[in-house]
Amino acid sequence: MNVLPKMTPLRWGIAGALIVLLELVNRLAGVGMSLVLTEMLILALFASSLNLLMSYGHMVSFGHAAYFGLGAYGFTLAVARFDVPVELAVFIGPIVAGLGGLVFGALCVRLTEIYFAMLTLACAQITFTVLFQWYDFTGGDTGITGFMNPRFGLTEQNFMTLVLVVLVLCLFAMAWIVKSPLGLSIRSVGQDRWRAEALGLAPRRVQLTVFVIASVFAGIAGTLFAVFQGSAFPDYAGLGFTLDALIMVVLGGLNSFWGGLVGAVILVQLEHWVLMVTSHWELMLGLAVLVLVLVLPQGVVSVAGRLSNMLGLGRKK
Amino acid sequence: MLFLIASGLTLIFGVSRIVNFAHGSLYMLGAFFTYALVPLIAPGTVGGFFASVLLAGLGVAAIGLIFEVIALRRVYGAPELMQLIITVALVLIIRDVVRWIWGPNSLSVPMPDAFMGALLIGDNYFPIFPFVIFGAGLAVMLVMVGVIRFTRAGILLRAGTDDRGMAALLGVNEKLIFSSVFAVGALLAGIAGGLAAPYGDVNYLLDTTVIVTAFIVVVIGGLGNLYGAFAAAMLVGITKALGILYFPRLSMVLIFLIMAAVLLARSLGRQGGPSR
Amino acid sequence: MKEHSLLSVRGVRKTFGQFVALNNVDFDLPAGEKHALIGPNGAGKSTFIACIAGQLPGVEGTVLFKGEEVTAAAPVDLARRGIGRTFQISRAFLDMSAMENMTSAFVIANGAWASLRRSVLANAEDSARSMLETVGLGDHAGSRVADLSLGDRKRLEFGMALANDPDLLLLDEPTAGMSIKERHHLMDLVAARIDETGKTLLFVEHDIDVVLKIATRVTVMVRGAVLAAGTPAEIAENEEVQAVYLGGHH
Repeated sequence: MNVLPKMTPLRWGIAGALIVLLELVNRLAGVGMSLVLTEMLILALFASSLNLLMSYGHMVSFGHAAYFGLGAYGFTLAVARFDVPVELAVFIGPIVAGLGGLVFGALCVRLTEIYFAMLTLACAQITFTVLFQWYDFTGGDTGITGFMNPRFGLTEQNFMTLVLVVLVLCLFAMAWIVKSPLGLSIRSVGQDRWRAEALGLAPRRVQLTVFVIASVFAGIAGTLFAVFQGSAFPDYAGLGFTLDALIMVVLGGLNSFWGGLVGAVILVQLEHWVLMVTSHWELMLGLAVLVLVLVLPQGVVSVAGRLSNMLGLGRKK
Repeated sequence: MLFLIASGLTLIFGVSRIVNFAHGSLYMLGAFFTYALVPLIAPGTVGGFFASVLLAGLGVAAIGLIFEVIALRRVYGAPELMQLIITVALVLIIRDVVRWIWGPNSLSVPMPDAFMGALLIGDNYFPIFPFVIFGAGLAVMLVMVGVIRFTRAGILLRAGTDDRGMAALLGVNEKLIFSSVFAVGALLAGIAGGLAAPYGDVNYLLDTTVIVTAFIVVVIGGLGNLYGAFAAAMLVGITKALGILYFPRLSMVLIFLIMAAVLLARSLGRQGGPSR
Repeated sequence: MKEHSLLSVRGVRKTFGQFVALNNVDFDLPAGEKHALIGPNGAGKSTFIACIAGQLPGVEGTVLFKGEEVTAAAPVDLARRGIGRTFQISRAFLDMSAMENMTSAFVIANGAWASLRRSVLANAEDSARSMLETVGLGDHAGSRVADLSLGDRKRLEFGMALANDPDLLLLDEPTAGMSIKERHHLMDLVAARIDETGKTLLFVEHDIDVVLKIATRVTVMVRGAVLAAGTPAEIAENEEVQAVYLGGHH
């Protein structure tokens, strides 16, 4: 089990080196690559927020994109409809997502397992439908565009650096939560809610807490995405984004802190390179997922873990 | 109509506990196959249309069967999430292949001439075709109930649904049952897609619209519950129709609200912990 | 009677469909007792424990704990009022280490489940470490629960149930599936802790030797009702009980 991110000095070194490497690629590989990296990092944050819910709370959500979308629209609507300054609006996005998570989560945590998943799906589709059909306010399927300079008017490279910083900060925050008493409570309820209950822990309250936390992080990702694109579309809250996030978490590896991150890297890089060769990206992704799940049910992180064990990069067990 | 899709989904879930995200894709395949077949088999006639639909359904069933044998069979013991992700992979594959073959634009399937007319009921004219679909759906429902009630296959099926371990003990070939159930579910989805093809646009985005609606019906009806699915399909269909009539923008929201309410109401009946 | 009882049960009845699992059970448990619940399979012992622990819906009758009605109370509420329990089937958190399990119990007991502070965690870990020593798991702190033996798991769970210092401890067949040696080891430990703290114990047990050794009072249940109650010696002499046990089991 490597549920908890254990940071040995060596691992700190690797993490630091990776960050530096990302930044170097960003600066040297041209604008196109910077855009790819930015999207990758934003999706990594989104997938990590879902991973928090799934790997620790053992709650499988089929509707996590709702909070990504709420983050994007919270920000966008604040700027476009209420003339909130951009600097302030970036905080409104995550707050709106968190509130959405609070309302929907309060309903969803009343159910467990597949029924929980189905209710999250329903909540997400409600969000999507409202965004899609409320033309006067949300612009419907034409979305909202042109309300601000994309990327705050920063260059592609500088914006990618900003996103990188935000991602690292968010990962620190998530790691802190996971290792805290709250993290322990979340895992306890995820493992066996009845046991937790008998110890005096109210499972639903814990589940709602982690649901809201995951929603806020998803909202941060959504806000960043809206800034990145300079626009917001109902699709941000749609089933497609939810499925992408699920695939990322499973590809990267469930029950691992890094699962969402690794999955996002794989997905976005794969897409980038596959599209250069063939336009049949979805076909390739589908086949890749099929093969990976059948061959590596534990996800890619498990292989990395085994490799590092073999190489003596000593994760003590 | 909805029932056809939902019954396949609920059947698969009931027996093999798999949430088949690709069900909408199978439906879509049925529609496209029908599109391809209709011009070939006695175009314009009722018989040709139904033959096309049936053939399309069988084609979809074959694809479902292949998929089950190659991929799904290996993960029955795995966590639900893995099974789900595999069906999602199938969604992506089918969508891309469909777009590859038939292109991204909406196609339309010509309706058999005999169904073009309208019936006069009271003072209003009603188009015939919805009645045809409804009748076909009802017929399939009756056939299925008959099979489940009275044949050996049905008995095995029910055994498998009620208690898998027990069924295995009785010497039931689980693999065979799972495979055939998946194929039958795919067949139903394919037929549904084919029947509905002349009704609206046929395009590669059908899969998600359909799967979400199908999930709603299945959940409202109770996962794995065939009769529940029938009742829920009626409920959702009527709600949708009325919703579109009175407050068009909110009709989908209304349906999701019903689903949420049903889920929550049912959860109240399932409170309390394990007894030991 | 009520004033002296830590736990007082009146007319508790629970049915599953047509089947009457508990039929108007009256039961009093004075503080400080080590009370054993015995009876043949299906007598309703586990159902009775589950009723007290708030785990079953639709229980008729009243349950008073410390003189307050707790009949329909939720398990969480009961835990906070001072009822600790273990389950018949081991229910520790399997994918977490023994240490994490115990720490989690103390975090919850300290009412700090939502804390983000490292210091809170460190405090809980100290308490957890000493509790692991107490139940004899000091050497297994880092082991995953899934890798522990059944006996170790049961001792872990017992330690977790003690974390919030419960006034009443409910153990549902704590020794099921254990060897005779492990059984006595665990129950000696339990008895020693109870004697030390002066708390109250109610446990379901099939092994009569263990019951006679540990319990200060015994209640015999048959077919959802109380057949007899008394000291271990009285129960051992009771002819009705002998008839049930000899007639029903052999």
